Amino acid sequence: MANLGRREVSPTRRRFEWAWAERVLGRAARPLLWVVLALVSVVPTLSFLSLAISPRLFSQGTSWFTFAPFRQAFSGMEMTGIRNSLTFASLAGVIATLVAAGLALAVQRTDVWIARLIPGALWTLLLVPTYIAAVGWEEVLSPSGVLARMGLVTPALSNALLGPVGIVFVLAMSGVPFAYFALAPALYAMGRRYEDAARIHGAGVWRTVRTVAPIILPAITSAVIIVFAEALGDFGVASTIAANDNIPVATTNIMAAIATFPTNFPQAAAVSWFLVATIGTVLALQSRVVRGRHTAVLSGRSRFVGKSHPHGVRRVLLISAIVAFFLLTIGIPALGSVFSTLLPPGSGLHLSHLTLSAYSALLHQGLSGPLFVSLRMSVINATVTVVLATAVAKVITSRRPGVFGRLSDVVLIASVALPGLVVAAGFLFIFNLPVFSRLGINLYGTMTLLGMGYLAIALPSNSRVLVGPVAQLDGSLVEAGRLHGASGPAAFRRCVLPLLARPLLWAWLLAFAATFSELPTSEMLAPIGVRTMATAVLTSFQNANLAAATALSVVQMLVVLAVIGVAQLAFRLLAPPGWRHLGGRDLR
Amino acid sequence: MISALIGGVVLSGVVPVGAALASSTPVASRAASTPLYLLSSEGYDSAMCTAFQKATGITCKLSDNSTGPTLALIQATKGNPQWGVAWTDGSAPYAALDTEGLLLKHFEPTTGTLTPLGKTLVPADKSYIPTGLTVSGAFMYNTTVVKNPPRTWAALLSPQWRGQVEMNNPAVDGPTYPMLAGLFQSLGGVAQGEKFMMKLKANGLKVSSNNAFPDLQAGKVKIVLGQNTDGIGAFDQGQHIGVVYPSPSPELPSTLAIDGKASSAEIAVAKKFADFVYSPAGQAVMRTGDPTGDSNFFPIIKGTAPRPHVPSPTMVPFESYNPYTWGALEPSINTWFSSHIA
Repeated sequence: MANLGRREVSPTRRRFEWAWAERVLGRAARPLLWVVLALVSVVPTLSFLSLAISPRLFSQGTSWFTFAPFRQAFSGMEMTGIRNSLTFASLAGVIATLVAAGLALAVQRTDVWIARLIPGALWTLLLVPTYIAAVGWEEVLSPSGVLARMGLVTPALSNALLGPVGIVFVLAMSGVPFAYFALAPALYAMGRRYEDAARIHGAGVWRTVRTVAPIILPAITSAVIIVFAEALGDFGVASTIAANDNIPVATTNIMAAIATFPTNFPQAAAVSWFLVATIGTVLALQSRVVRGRHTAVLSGRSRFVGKSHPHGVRRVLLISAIVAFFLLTIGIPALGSVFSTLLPPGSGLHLSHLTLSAYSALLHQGLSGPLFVSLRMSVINATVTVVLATAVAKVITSRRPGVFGRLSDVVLIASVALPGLVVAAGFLFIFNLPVFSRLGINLYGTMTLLGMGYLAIALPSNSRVLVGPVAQLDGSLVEAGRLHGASGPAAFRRCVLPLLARPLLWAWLLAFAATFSELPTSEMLAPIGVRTMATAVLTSFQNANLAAATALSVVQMLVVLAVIGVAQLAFRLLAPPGWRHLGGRDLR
Repeated sequence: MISALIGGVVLSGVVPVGAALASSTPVASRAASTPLYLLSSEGYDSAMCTAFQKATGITCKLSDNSTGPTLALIQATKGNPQWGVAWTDGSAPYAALDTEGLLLKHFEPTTGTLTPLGKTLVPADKSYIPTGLTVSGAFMYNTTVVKNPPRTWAALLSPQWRGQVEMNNPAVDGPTYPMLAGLFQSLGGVAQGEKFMMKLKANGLKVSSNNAFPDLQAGKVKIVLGQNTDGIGAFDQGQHIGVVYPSPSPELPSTLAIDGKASSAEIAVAKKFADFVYSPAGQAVMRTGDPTGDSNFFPIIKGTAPRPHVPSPTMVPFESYNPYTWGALEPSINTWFSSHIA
């Protein structure tokens, strides 16, 4: 009687059913992934880009086919913006890669204790939006900023640093984590055998670099390209340092075309075409440079690289350089942001002038609603993003990526270069078509569409960040698990997950932070009546309460830092010991 | 004390007015279940939404963005509009939306009477509704360093102000364009206006692609040309900021419009909202909802007094312009400004 309503299933039959389900899932996984990528990335982006040649398609003009938006986008100030964007992004890409290489070498090749903190600190840097970094720098360096009030910065120096130099600096420093995570695994896998061989044959430092660097050329070019793409599509620095110094860049031109009346979506689409075409060209060049070179010198085997022990001045210089890097990229901007919230505008730098009024003003804004909405959406989006990003990274790094893998790579890098506003507007155009309403699909104005928008923003960067850790996994791990009798999921859980646990946790936090502070998507796609943390910050800015707005940004960052702390603590206390001690501990 | 008394009296009228609005039409019961979708960039919109909901029982769903993204949303969804009421500064955008046939015409709230100044802001086809007035081209200055501020546009060309004047780029900041429109019109046309701006540039005019007002607060410049409510709000917060209304002072009305393609139930709800805004209760919310910003408008409804630091409208040499004519010129003037002045 106890078995009433239940069927006894033999173990053989269960194994068969499981194998069948696995086969179906295995075959459907890639098409499913393609459908998801199409829905959240390709279709909305193409919809927006199509406006440049066919404005009438989405009721944005009278022409079904025209090139006029391109003429507007590639003339006058718009052309200057495009030139500036190319220059800044190229410089940022090269500088970030050089700094990242230096940091990776410090981590992998020296026994300096502070170097062990670098990977964790880089993750923290990754979580700081460029907007916050730029505002922090402005607060510190502007003629009325903290350093000027202390008499440490002259107006001339301030003007010099808050111009093109400052733009490239913030973009490059914000790009260092991306370059590091692209470069470090390859550097580690290469070991120092080629270096040693070159030195034994009498090569100097420069000659050794020239000999060894081509071996990891794919990783170097990947590092430069991802920072280039991030810098090209950046809006944080563009809307602060660049805007305040009247330096046009492509993203501010897009914003100007969209966010001022009369709205010119076709022109914004034409500038977006430039961003996509630029990334396409750069990827093609990378493929051409890498093709034909024998770079398959790296294998999945672990190598134990001996660590050097710098002495005396070299050790001091190395430690100072590492400390200076994190002070400049995290410390000073954070200090600047916090100070700007504690000092009323125009007041001198004195303890008696410090006030918490900006923070107390926040209490009257009723922030529990936006906080809850943003927390909920960030947790959901981070979880979905990490699952999909792992799958995408696996496809991209597989030995036979196929057309889908290569296409995914191009689509994701192109998405990185497009500002969030463009992608969000694309969602608006495609999912608000009357035909969808007629079909009973009413996504516009729903939290689902907002979630899809957030996914589109977080997925590209997350996939790129996970490419390194996933690429380091040996494909035979799951097979070994299966040979020992584990099912597919069990083999993944017991053989692969422990190696990926920490990178996945950081990737989750990265997606969480990106979602929590995402403004353009929230502005365009949040259902009417729903406020997020980012739109609450905007409201404070609109009400000309700059101190309260910055205070809200600081609170926003504190929430993110608190979530990081709780997640790390939970990982330390709750994760199985294998997860904590196996590969990817420092993501090298 | 007096203003508090007035506020109390006005607020006590909220419930009766709301009740009257809620039961004024046969569609009331149907409308009560239809929410109001409000896209707004006004500082008092949140307070207004809450007050309206409390007074009428109609759910008010607010999207509180800056003017640019609000209008961008309307433009992006014009094939399948998804809003009920839009409420932002400026009338030129609404003139353009009216030309495209997107707005409800021939509706005027009946709960308040416009002043003669207010009547000049109403379009012939009544496709949008003015709710208040501000000045786009006020001179705001730091009272601690400027004792004798300029009072005319020509005075800005004096060597005394070389490199000390800043304004926003109209190609980035929508509410700045009305300043150019009003100024250019008063000077005789676009060519004359552009000539004047070139002279201003030669005298060291600075242009911000972000927000010029914080530069005044930080002491980077002595004068900022912009919306007067910024200056009054800063003064109210105890900052040393003064406001001069030059001759001419280009108008910048706050404007409300109703989606012409909405369903009849949504239009009924939107009309109730417009009526509420014009009612004494709504006017009280406009006056108090954003005391350091947009609440410092010049009232255009009879019986509504301006806030304490807002001068009487009769003291201000307003410059009005035709939003249909000047709105059409906005792209070309903004492009010219970006390439020649910014």
